[in-house]
Amino acid sequence: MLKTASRRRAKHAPIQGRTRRTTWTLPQEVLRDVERFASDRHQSVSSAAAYLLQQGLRQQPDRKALPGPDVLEMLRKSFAGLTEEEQMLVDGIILEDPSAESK
Amino acid sequence: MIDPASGPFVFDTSAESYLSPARSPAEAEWLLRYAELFPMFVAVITIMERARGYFLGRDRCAPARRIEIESKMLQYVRSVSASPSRVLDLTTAIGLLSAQMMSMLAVPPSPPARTHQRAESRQDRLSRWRFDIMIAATALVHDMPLIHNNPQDFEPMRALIETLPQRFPGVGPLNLISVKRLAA
Repeated sequence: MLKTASRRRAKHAPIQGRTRRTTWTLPQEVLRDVERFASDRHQSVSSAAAYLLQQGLRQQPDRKALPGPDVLEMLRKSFAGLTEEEQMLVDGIILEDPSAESK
Repeated sequence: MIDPASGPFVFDTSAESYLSPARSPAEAEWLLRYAELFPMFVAVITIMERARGYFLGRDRCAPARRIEIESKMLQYVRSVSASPSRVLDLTTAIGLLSAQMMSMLAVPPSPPARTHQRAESRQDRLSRWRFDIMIAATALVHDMPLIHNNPQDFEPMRALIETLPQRFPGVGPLNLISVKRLAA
């Protein structure tokens, strides 16, 4: 019973927040995948599409999260005063005494 | 000159170093304009390469210098934590793409680095080559151009994808920009 009830709730669960009707043109196979996803979860296609879009957007890097100039100053300080060999190390280049390698 | 507004870009380890600090007023201005528009994206592999370098530097230096190296590492970590979204994590897609490239480009395209007294071991050269592949794969999966100062490593990857695009479905081309061209 609980399963049925939760199903019913899920089926009719409103999409959170305000909604707006729109028309998109999507590749047929994408639409089929969304419909299948919605059907598997007993959701409306609109709810499923909103969920999938939100998930996708969350995985995108936040291109607006900036504090750029501060980061530049921190970067500058992180490299300032390093010797040539230390700079190579933090650039990923590890130099060894060749005689030590052959031992 | 590359328009900063045409970003965002992923910065390879070598490019991030080259620009910190910028080497000319024009580069400094370019970087400032870019930083006002986009984060300086780096692959998580760059963070790992850097941190390993700081740890090794700290372990190799005289005791009196250790605190200074640790303080520089802290600054670097701060530059990451102040803008965590600038770090692009490894994902399954990046892992698979890296594996494909590593299988086809098994040998580094240039010899180990060396100075007159010291040399990079073959193992370290190979791991650095594989790190570069993972950085390129990160840029490819995120569909961003890669700013670099290391054409000898990245050009073979670009050429491979251009020659055999069918082996890399859904990604590419690898868009490379030399850090020296940014403000030129």
